[in-house]
Amino acid sequence: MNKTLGRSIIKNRYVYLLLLPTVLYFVLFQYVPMYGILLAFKEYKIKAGILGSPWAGFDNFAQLIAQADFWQAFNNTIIISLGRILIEFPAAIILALLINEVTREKFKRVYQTVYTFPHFISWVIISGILLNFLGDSGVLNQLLVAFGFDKQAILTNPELFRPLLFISNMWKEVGWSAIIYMAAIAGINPELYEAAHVDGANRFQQLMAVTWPSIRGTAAILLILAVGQAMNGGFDQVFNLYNPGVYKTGDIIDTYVYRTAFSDGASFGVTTAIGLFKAVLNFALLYAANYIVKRLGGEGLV
Amino acid sequence: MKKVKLLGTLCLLVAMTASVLSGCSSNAGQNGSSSPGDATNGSASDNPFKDHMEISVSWWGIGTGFAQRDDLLQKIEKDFNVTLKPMDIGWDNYKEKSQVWAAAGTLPDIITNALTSDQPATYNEWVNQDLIHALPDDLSAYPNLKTVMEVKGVEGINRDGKYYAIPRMTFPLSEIEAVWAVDRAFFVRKDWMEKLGIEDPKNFDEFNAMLKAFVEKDPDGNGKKDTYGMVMNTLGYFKSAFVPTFPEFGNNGWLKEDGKWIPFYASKKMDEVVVQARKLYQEGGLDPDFAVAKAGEGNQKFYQSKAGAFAFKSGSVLQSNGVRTEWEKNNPGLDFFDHVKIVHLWPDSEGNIYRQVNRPWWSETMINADVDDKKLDRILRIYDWLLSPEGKEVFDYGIEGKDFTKEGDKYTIIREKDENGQFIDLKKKYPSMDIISQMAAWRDASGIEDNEANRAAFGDKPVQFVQDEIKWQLDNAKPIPTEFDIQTLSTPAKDKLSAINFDDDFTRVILSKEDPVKMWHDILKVYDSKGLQQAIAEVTAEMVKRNK
Repeated sequence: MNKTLGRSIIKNRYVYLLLLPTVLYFVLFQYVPMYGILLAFKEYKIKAGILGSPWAGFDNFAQLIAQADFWQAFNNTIIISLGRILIEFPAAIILALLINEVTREKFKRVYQTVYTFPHFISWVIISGILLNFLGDSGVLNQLLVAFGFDKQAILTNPELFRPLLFISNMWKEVGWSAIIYMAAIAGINPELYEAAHVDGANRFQQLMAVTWPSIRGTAAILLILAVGQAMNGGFDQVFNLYNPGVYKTGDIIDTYVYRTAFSDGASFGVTTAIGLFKAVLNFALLYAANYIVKRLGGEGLV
Repeated sequence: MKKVKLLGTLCLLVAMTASVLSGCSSNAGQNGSSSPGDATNGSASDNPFKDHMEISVSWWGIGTGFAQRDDLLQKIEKDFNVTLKPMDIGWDNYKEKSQVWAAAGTLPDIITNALTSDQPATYNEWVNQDLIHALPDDLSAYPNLKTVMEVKGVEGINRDGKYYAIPRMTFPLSEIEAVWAVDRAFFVRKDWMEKLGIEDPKNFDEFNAMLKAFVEKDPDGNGKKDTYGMVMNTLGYFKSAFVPTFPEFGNNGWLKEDGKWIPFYASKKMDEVVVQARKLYQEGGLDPDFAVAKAGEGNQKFYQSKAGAFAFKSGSVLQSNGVRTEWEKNNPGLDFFDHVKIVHLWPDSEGNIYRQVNRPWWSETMINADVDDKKLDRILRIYDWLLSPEGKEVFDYGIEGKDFTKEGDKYTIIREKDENGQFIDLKKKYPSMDIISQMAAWRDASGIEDNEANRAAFGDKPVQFVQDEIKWQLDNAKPIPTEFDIQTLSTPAKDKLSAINFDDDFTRVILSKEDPVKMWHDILKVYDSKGLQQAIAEVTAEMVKRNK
């Protein structure tokens, strides 16, 4: 085995040589910086550097767990991520299937462009748009007043914040996420549809019997990846849309870390501890999802 | 053929590896001290500016400010034989940036930060970790700097007998009270008050009623309910509204209650403050968007005649993009002073009116520990000049011969005028002016002085407006009782209180529908978990030692 591997490397040495820079990249920029994780168990001293700082055991983690706000952020992160998987994740599949059913090629393109475009607008700009739209003097409230209703404080209402996150993120990202499914759909052999047609399947039956099974594998892999991101919760979006009024339902781990990290100079250790905590949980979730998908007969990642 | 293949592969490999590694290149060596060409070694010099030096400086927005290398910057560099190398920090990330620079070992020679005033824990840490340079014990070579270091209160940043920072004084001490007195104001539409028959509020309820009337009684007479009560530049300015209820709330101070020294938020008086704040919000007098609007967005509602009251600072009438200029821009043909006035705070339960006062400095200059003695001397000489009367003259009047001429005490301004016949703003003429003039001390006081330079730059009315306001405040109001010692005091638990973000929690209470007092008490329990009681015990013990 070893001999054959060695021989194959020698035989394909140029190809392996070409692979080297990529491997080097991963080692240098992904694996080497990992030693920074040590900070989670250290009391960081700037002059001493990461390796020279004294060990602190699990003090950083203990500090973290003692903070009431951290657990609020933790719960919010899980709930928001779960919501994203339940609500936003299927939306992209449904959109891809729907666009696929549009028969006129021209309309198909138009729809695809329209849905994809918001992906390129940054959250900073979207938050400005939303303030103008949903704020107290915004369009929506002006309409409400014009029809004789009371104004609504939508942006500061903790109960509405999570739906706001889901809806705005769907508006922004659904078209972009659908692309990968549409690519999978485009790869389906047309003969399958023809055969189904000959068997008398209508369009809905074709969708269920041909299209969906063909993209199910893709969906499973994307689902595993989405679960692996569950502890992230979307910093960019939350950070730009939230305000103190909605911390109760909207503050996620990343925004919490951002707010607390630099207020106290000694907290490099604690924030690294949070990062490590998140990474370990993400890893566990990824594996669990992978395991479940495999058990259900799908193809996993690993 | 094989050789060609090998060569091709190697070329590609080198290119790819280079592109991977290029990300690794660091900017090491950019802090090099003197440029070799000019350095003449050995000769014993009585001229302290003999050797040319490159000094790196961080400042908010210094990148754009120094980009033009205007005449003022060139004058400073020539006079002190230095090249100033800007290292930019931004207002929203300067704390993070300094931490990152500190961790990466790339702090500039002259470090701008706000540790002594905002993060004493980090200041201690930087001192302990040898990141910053101690100032010489003998400062007699820098008389103007020496005066600053002898100001009362500065001893609070002394660590083991040495100073590691030059506090950036907010203004000359003789004017401390005057400047703070005009640092907070409620600008209110005088014409709206007259139209609705509203008098200056004499208590909180009348204040609330006034703001409500602005919302409900159609003060602009357009038949629509589209006006607001109170808008604000930032929350800090608005908080003055609760000073009559709880004076120490106005400057986030510490106070003695039941024999213990406590931060303002731990006081029993907070209950009444949260009730009042909630009331303002719930009844509509407070801009419903105050928590979502970014800093400065609220201003627009006032400028566009959509809001009746605006929390900001009196001195803003003098700023080139301040309340008066912007208001008049949005209301062409109208005179700001005919339509807007300052509504003063009402007396508290004992009949006292309070005005803003705060510590004598905010932020500081620190010097990199790696700076050698020669460079340290050069930096301190520059700072001494920045703090000198000669420096002030340049900042007030510009460069002699170009912007003004002088005979004895009489200044004649000769700089260019704009299309309205006003002398152009020195800060516009020299983009580096804003930075250089404030590096050693904020110049908040210079703007509100009643002198030729200001009357020429701003016109008579605004200068008089501010002078009248200062006089009113000094005659009628008392400074908020403040224990300045505690602000620079550092104890382990007190340092950890920096993890408390009061403004966020206060905003949360205002916006919520829960009972404000109950909610506030729950927040206090969270503060306790962050070490509040321990901090109170430590500070009280320390103050007992000081017989307070």
